[in-house]
Amino acid sequence: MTLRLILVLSAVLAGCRIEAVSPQAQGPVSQSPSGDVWIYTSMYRPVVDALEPLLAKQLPEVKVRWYQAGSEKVLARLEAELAAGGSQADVIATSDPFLYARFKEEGRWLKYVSPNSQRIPRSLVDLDGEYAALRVSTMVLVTREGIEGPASFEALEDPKWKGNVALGDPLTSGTAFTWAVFMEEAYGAAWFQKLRDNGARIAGGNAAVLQKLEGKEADVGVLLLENALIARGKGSPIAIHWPTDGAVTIPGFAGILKSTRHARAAQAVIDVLLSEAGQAAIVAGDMHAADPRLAGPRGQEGLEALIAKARPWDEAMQLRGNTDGARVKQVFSGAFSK
Amino acid sequence: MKRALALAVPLLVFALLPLGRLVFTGLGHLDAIVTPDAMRALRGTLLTSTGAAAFAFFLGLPLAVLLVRTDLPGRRALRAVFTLPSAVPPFIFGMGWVALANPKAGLLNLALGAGTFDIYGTVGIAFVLGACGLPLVVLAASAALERVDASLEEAARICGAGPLRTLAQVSVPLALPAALSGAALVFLFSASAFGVPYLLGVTASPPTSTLTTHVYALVLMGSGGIASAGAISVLLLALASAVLLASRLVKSAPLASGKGIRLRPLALGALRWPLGVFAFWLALALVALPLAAVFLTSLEPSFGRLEQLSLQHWQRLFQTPRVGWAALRSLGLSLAAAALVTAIGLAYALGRMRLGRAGRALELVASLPYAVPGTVLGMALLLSFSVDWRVVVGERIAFVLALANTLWLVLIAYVARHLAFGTRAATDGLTQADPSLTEAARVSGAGPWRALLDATLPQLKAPLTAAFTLTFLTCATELTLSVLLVPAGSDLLGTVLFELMSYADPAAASVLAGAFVLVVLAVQGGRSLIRTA
Repeated sequence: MTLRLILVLSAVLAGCRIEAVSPQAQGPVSQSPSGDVWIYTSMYRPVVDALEPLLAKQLPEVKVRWYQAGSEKVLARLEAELAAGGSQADVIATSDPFLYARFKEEGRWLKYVSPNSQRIPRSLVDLDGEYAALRVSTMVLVTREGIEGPASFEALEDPKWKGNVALGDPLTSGTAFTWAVFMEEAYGAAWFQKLRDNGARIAGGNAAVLQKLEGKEADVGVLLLENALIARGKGSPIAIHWPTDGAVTIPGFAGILKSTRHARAAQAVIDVLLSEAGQAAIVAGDMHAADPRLAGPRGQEGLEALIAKARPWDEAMQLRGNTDGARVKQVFSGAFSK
Repeated sequence: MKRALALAVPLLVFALLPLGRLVFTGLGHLDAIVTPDAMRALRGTLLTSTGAAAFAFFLGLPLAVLLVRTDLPGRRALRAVFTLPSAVPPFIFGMGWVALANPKAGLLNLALGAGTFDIYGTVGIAFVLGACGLPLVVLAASAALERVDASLEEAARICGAGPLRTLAQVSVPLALPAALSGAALVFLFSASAFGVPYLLGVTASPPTSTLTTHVYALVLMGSGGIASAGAISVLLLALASAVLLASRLVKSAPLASGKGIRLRPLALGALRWPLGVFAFWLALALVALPLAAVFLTSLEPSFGRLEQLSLQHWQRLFQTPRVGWAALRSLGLSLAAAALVTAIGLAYALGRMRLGRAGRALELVASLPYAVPGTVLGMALLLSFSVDWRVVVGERIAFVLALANTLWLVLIAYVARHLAFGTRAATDGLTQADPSLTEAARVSGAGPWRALLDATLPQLKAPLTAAFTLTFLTCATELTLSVLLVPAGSDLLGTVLFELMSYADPAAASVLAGAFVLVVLAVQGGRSLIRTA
């Protein structure tokens, strides 16, 4: 309870440093938001399907259009469109946290602080009010049921797991990359070499890691919590293990592009996504909501407990992904290509 | 025929201009090519693509001869089976082979002892791509062989040559140019493939890197990747041009005499059954086995779990209304793309003679969109068409080309990507057709269109049908371009498949693949029923 109080207090404090809640959101709104809002997102389809009716109900005059694909594809499309002279995207909501810091540097975000964002822990919002997290994804250890999992990520170098570890590919999967950045910081470049010497295999994306576990190609893998939960929900015989050296959380930020033509509508969409109902839809889609009041997906604990179990996520880490990311990839692929 | 060539103009604007623009950007970043990573990727691409092309060529050419020219038992069914891989996205085969031959828990390895097969790595990629590319060789060679006058083979038999010698010295040389052309396509197809090299390469130890996976990593995982991707694409384009030019060095002889063809199968004699059994086993191993593995996957409650098989994934998929709409949209787009590719290919082939060297250059250019990774082509199109094109005439009328976020852009991408199917098939067909028939038509008073319709086109029926079918089937489940270019709110089969693979489980994706294979089988079965009726 005290933790929650502290978090809320710190969120409030963080909120103080952010510019005041935008004037439009205070008091009665003179005119209801309207227009087309394009959301480019990596949120899974069921989440989008759940959010659609909610948005339609709350914002009847806003037509929300979705482009839904993996974070990497969304980024590729966005980059190409921006290079061509402009994207029609208004809201970006992907799970690639480093993109947001980069776009901030490039001055691409429209500052907006939703009144619904004030409960979000400060590590999950941009203190300049350029973007805030909608959801939090988590990288955990996963095994098949009946296997006593390793205690920590670090223990993956234990000969006990020789030839039985499946990892995501940091070169092509955003979540695996975030994980690699954290691990490199914690255990150094040599640790990747140890994993390699221990016969760890790169699987590709999260779905591939899951498949390697289910198909008995590996006994333990580093996997997104939501993929594991969904699989378990469908009866897949896998077990989730929380690493003692801290799970890796990946904030799924959302921001509004400056080039938006319907800023008011885009802001209203963000408000709805951060509202309790919007956040509940995200939890129903097997991710942790950014709103600490909500419980975690499928009986998991809520956001504060998650943060307590995770490695600390802060702005320094976010910058590290951008400034140091290329080197981490190099070190990783160097270790595994021998 | 000059008018027909005008068809090529939109092609240049829509397909090649964007690509050219990207390549131009890439030329400024050629330093991206000389990194050790890029060189390793180049080596991977050369090894896997050459391997795949060789595999498809040395297997596909004899197979085509056996299936078309001989009395091999069950040849019609076998032919359908061997062309099936063109209807199934390669990564589905990749999935099947992972289930069959991953070193630790593959079904084959469970049956034969762990470590018998290892599908991960260069050899595995070349094998799977070669098997997927097999129809390109078989279809091309078959189309050529179908127009060979059987009297040539009969003459060899009468002169005392045995059936094998006749095949080797008469039939094979006649089909050689078309088969080589097919093999060149297999090379391009492999060099630009992404799914299989990624699926089988990334897990290998050490990971096998190819140019496409390298570009993918550059484009999707860093800023400014577009320029580097353009540079690497220059490398791929150079590679493709070299292969295409080399494949054109083999001149093809006119096959059909145009005076009525007797398609009498060559009797194989004592070799009939051994060869039949061999072909049957080959079909089983290369096509049936991986597809059966995919079907099995679609019944498993979770990947690799062989108990409690059920239809639950099938049920769930067919209860999703989006899938039906996606299928309809993909069907329409693929049909349109196939028709356009065939028409443009034909127009190009007819106009080529008049253009001389420029014509050959045009063919090369038309093959380029097929040689670059789908991601690169998609990015190029986004780069060029995300912004509306405006031409204002006399300050009064504005022509606005707004392609961004429309299905038209997807159609353009499909057509651009598969142009090579049309141009190559039509050119191969036309060089082997007998011009005397067309001349006879003109002499008898037919206009150029009448002569084209009545004399030339009927001779091109087989290669054009092949091009149409290939394009249609490839587009129907196309993944990379679809995911990148799909307009908001309209799903395509490719995007649904992608979503199932990344969100749901492999089982759900294999349901869609399995359903697609069933549809293809039904269509092929229906066609052969109509033919026999």
